[in-house]
Amino acid sequence: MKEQSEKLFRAIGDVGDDLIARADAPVRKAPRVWVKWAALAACCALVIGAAAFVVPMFRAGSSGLSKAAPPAEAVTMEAPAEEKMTLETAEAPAEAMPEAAPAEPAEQKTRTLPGADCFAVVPESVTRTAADVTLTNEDGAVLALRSEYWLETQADGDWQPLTSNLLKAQSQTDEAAPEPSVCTLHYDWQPLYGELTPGEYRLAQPVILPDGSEYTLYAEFTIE
Amino acid sequence: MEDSAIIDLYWAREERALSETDTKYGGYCRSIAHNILKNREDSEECVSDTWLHAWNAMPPQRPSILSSFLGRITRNLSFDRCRRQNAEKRGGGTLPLALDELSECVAAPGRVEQALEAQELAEAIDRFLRTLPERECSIFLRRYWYVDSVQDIAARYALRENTAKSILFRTREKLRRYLAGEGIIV
Repeated sequence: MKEQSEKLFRAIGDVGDDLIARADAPVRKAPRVWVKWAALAACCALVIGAAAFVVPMFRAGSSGLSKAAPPAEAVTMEAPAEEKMTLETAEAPAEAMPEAAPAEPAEQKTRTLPGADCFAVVPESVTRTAADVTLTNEDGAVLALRSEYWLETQADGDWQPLTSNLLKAQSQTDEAAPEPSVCTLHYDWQPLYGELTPGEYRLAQPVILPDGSEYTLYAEFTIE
Repeated sequence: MEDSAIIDLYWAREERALSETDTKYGGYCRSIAHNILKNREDSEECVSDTWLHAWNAMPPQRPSILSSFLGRITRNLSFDRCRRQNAEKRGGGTLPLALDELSECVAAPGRVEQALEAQELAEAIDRFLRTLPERECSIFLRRYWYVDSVQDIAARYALRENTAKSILFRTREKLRRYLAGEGIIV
């Protein structure tokens, strides 16, 4: 038996050089099991954390896109809401909002529409060529005015824009109304429309809401 | 110095080949000799004899892996010296234990399988080792080629000693079955 063991020992001595060299190479120590699990857990935490950060950004981004280019249905749903916000329904602004809310519940979260009475003509300032309008900003919801505005008149129960030879650039252009929050804007439409004839009118003023979306304020007045 | 340059020195019969070999592979060969002999003087003599054998072998040989070539010479010389010492009752150390372990791989007497020449047996073992995972193969060779102690193997591979023993036991058992399956007796 001893001779056989020695024979085996000698035979092992003649195995391939590559195996012998490999057995003498520095050992690559396998990472401990807990290290592997810890690394895996860290990776999972990173992915979850990144997802928690990125997904809300995607949602916010996609809702912003839908506002910028709303589908046809959204436009038609929003139009009546805008009408409700005119001075025509100023007596019941509280009812107007809940009507718009079910149509676009997601949008309501990010878009706070100004109240109908926040944009109103000062009656004693009205002339045939000009009027003063007060703009009331709610706390933390400062509106920015677009440069253009237009006048509409009532015909057959509908509001129709007055025809104009010019596109008016108003002096208070694209600037946020100052806080606190009530300011008076002077509109001189003579270059646009000349002298108005007696009748019911309303002044349409596009604004930019605090969330970046656009909206149109209306203020009605009467020319005697 | 690169191995090929050292081999060129042997082929050019330049004695600097011996000093260069000792510089690069002296420690490697001494550790193999010491694992088997467990004696510093004997190990040193075996290493010196290794350089002499290498000088006589090159040329004509041109080994592809110089370290394995030299280590094999040292191992054989050390083994022969150990056998002589055991015959004179001077021996001891790791080798007898390793040989005892290897006896588990030997077929029982009286079997009728083919008895192989040493070279054929080496080729069969080589084939067997190439079927093993790299780590098992290397652990086996650390024990039965380099004659490392089980403690050293456990430390080298960051294993518990019992785990190293267990791996060696399973590998010996595999070798026994492999040789039996090939119809080989030792």
